Amino acid sequence: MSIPSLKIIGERINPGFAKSKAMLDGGDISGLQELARSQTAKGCDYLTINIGDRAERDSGFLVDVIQAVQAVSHLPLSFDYPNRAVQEICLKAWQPAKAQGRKPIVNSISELRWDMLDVLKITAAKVVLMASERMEDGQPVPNETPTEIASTVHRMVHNILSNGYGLGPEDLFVDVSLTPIAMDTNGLVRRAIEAIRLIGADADLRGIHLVVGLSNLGIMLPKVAVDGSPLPVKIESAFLTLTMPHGLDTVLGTPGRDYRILPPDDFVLQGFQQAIALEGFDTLERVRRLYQRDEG
Amino acid sequence: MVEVDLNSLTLAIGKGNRAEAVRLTKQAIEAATPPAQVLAAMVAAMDDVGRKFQCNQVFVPEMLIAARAMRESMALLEPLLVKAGIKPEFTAVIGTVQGDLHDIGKNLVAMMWKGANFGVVDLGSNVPAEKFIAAAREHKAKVVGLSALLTTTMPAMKQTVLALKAADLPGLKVVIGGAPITESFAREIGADGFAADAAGAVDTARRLVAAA
Repeated sequence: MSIPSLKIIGERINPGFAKSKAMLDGGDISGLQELARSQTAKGCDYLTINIGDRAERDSGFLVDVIQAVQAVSHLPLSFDYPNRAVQEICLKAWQPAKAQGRKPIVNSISELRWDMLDVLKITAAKVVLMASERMEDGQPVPNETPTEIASTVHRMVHNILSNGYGLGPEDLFVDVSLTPIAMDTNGLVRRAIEAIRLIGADADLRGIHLVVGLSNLGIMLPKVAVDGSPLPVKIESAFLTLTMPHGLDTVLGTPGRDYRILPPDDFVLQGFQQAIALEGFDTLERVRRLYQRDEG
Repeated sequence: MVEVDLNSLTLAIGKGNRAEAVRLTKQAIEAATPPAQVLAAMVAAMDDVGRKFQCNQVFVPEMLIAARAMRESMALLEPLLVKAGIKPEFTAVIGTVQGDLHDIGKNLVAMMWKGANFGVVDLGSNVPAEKFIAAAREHKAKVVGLSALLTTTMPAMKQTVLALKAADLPGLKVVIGGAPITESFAREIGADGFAADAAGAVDTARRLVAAA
């Protein structure tokens, strides 16, 4: 049922999940180890480490969590901090031998914090490149169009590969940013899909990975669609169905979740496609009809 | 007659039926219904939507669709409110803190605040502390709402709260929110209030202003 070629960065060690937050707040290391174990058993490829803002105040706890997770899982870790000081602590605590020499992931670097690439001197690592923003004339600018996203990616990848950071294309994960469809009045989900298509078609970017934070997409919606199917995971699957043929190969997601490639006549896939083709509030009206029958 | 129509207006906005909401607003205006009563019917609709949202009876798409029906009806009523000297409940300034370009959560709160008849000054994203202070002063705001999505911009949020508290803005209340933000962080950095979601941001702002 799952999608064999899809790589999953297990997302659960993150205070965005209520159970994980309780463990982090309570310093429940063995609970966090259990989270690491169960995600590993369910077949994910990397484990996210995100202990929230405590990482910035309590480096000792951060190191404890990393060591505890590495004690129970052989998977490489993905350190989810757009922050140089925290990444330094993570990479120093990282023990390559426990992951059989596989590299961890620095999540994330963007043009707004390019000098963070220096942390790769600590240990060899892969990197996530955020494509939602760029630097222009010394100012941070959000990328608004698929072309802006794709050209920022092109520039970042070129700069990394040609500047001797010791990284190959296979070490790069490009994140185009995914926003909830539940509030997408600005066509941002369609934009992400179009950006993935442009990046996937760019011959200079061959071999890089494309990643999204997939769980963002289906949040703030009810659990069940009108056809009785589980709505959030079906919406996530619809996104995978539309983007994996164009190069998306990795998600920040929950291992064991029922991700699948949907048939063209699937109720949610069709509604999702129609929703993202619409503009403004029409998108939301279409999304609403995925879980609410029209009143007669 | 008028009373029934206003109930229907509340229902139409609550359901996000904008054609019906606009029609009923026009009807109420033509019947010379006091603008304050029409406004109250609209605000009641959004309050109801907020309550239903908080107990999972409606979801974000319906909330946004209802807010649009409110906005379009409000556009018709606004000139009459101005003429009658009826002002928004109070003015609130909102923005995402410096270094943070995320604006989705902030936009949702701004929309709900407008729906609650607050005057909303939206400064956008990546907003430095001085800009919040200047806007709060210029618009005589009673509330400033700060949003942050990144843990890395939480220090900027703290600095903004400190700067707002140090500025000479008597009675100003600061409400914070965003994915990594917690009630305890709000307390720690000296913010007056914390909101977990957009509907909660309406309650928090009202409560703080009422207590001021």
